Amino acid sequence: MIPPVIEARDLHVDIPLPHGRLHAVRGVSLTVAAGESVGLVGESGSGKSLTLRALLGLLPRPAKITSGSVLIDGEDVTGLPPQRLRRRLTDTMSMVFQDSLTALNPVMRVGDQIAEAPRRKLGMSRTAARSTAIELMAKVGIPDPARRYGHYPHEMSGGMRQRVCIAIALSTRPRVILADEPTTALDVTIQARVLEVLRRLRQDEHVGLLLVSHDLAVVGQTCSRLYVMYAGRIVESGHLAELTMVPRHPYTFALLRSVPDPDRRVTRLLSIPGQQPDLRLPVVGCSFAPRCPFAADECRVAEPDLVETGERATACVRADTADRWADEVAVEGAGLR
Amino acid sequence: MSDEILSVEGVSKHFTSSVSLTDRLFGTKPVVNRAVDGVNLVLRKGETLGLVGESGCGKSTLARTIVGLYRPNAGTVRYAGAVLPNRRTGAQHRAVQMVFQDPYSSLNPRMTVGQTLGELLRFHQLVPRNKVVDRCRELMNLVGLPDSALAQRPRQFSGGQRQRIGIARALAVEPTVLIADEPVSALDVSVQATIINLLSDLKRTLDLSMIFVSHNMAVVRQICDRTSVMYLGRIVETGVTDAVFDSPVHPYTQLLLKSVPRLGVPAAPQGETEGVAIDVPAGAHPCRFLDRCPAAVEGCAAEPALLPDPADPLRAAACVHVPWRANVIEELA
Repeated sequence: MIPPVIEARDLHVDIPLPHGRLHAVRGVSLTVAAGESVGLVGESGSGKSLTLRALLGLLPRPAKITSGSVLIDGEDVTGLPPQRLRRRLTDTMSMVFQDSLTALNPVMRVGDQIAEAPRRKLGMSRTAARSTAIELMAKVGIPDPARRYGHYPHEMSGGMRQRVCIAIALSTRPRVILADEPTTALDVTIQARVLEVLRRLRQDEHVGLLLVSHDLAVVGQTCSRLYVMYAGRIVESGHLAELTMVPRHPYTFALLRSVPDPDRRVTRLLSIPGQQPDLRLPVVGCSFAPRCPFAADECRVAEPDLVETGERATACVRADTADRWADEVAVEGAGLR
Repeated sequence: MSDEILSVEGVSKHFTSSVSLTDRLFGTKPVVNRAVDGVNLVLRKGETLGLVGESGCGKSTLARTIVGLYRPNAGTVRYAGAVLPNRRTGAQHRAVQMVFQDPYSSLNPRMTVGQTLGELLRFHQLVPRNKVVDRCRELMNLVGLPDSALAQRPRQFSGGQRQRIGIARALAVEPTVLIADEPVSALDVSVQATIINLLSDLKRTLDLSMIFVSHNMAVVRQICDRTSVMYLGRIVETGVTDAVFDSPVHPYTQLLLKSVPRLGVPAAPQGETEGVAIDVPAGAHPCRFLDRCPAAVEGCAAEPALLPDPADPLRAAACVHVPWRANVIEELA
């Protein structure tokens, strides 16, 4: 196995509240290697975005990491003094946000925004930074980059702006890009192009990608390995094909069957009743049990551990009954082929 | 056709940008955005018609024009054969109802669900005053919420529950046509399925006809009997859903379907389709898809009309490459 570039070990993130706290991320461990594309899926409120921000030290106030560590090339960086920590983190990874319009400076030309990091961080001259920026713009598929250099964000379409954001992320020559729902605000045809830019970067430049999305299809199309998150924990992980063919956690199973398939009509989609547990309260038993169609008494006793078997991991005590689930719910599978 | 319940005939909705007096004195002309430009649609009784397209294609504007939130610049909307006037009667308003994308901003935050629904029922005098509460409970039951929800305010609900309230609000006035404008786009995938199932169940039990507006091709395939694809204010392709999805003929429909992410299927590489440069004579109206079309030819300099397929009365497309075009021209000759 290729050693991971970044690794999170048992990460916990809390959001302090006036009365008590919200335990938003509850012990997440994950790895991303160079040139690998990893997906992190889950519904809103599952803690996937906070996990991503915790990795880069960008947690919004007052959220903070309460325990766990972030490792870069196997070295624990959580104990480093703030300035060195920041240097280390930003040298290794950079981030692409969902909303490109708020991520960009509205009163600065996009080219200058791309050239800013090479100037400041890599110490390039003005002209060198400019040509680097134009090169990056061409690389992410912005047509006529020399002319576009002088444009302001509002003069560009959503897809072009998102490419500018990717170019900015690339400008520090990171080894891993963290992307938080990078295509959610875009139309499908534009989404396809932006995803292709990310895919090409991984292939040609060997840049690792950690893609966060609520859309299983987007992640499934781009990534080779998946982490499924629910209520602040990773409930299942593994290679894309294995995970989608034979899901071994009921949440993954239900998620796959609730997504409509563009290529055929199914008689009925599987709906997951209820909602995620309130993480201000302590979780008793499996956090998915109240919504799980296969929950048994044992599921309500203690929260199951994430058990690793080879490169798969599942946090479900009933994982061994997975092959019978499809018959039990008698709903046609969408997304499974 | 006799089973038509709603029809849209040549509807256009143009928005004109405002120009200040000083600008107007200096001769600045207002910019006209032809959001919907001459659209014809027919909704038959009991069917679900999908309206798909990317943002800015005019699908929401069309939906809002149909329910009467916008007045069309040209064309008419007919309900059960009668033209709907600009000022609709109460019965006409009740017949065609809308479910909005964002139920939170379409509900009054300071009123409880019971007050919102009760107000509607009393205003339209649909049930005797002493039966209003019973009817509210019935509506909650219909959309799968507990009676206790009536005493709560919109902010106390999750996104999926709020959308159920939005649906209950539309159903309260007993419509026969439901216009759903991106009803599941703001929801999580797991909740999406619940609302899609709810809408198709309600459609069946209440004998509704529905226009389902969405940018999500997979969702449209799941619930729509027929699908119309819109591009820049025009319908470019229409037909039975399976036919449109399995054998799209318009290059735009083909591009849309090719772009939909599919689980575990690496997307086909997409070149930057700049299109082929075609000389467009000054003053001509070229095909609106021309600058993005990979299959552009000289004939595209004139905007193609929506051409029906002689072999399938429900199918039509607006493109010079439509396979049945040769047959139609032959017939005319």
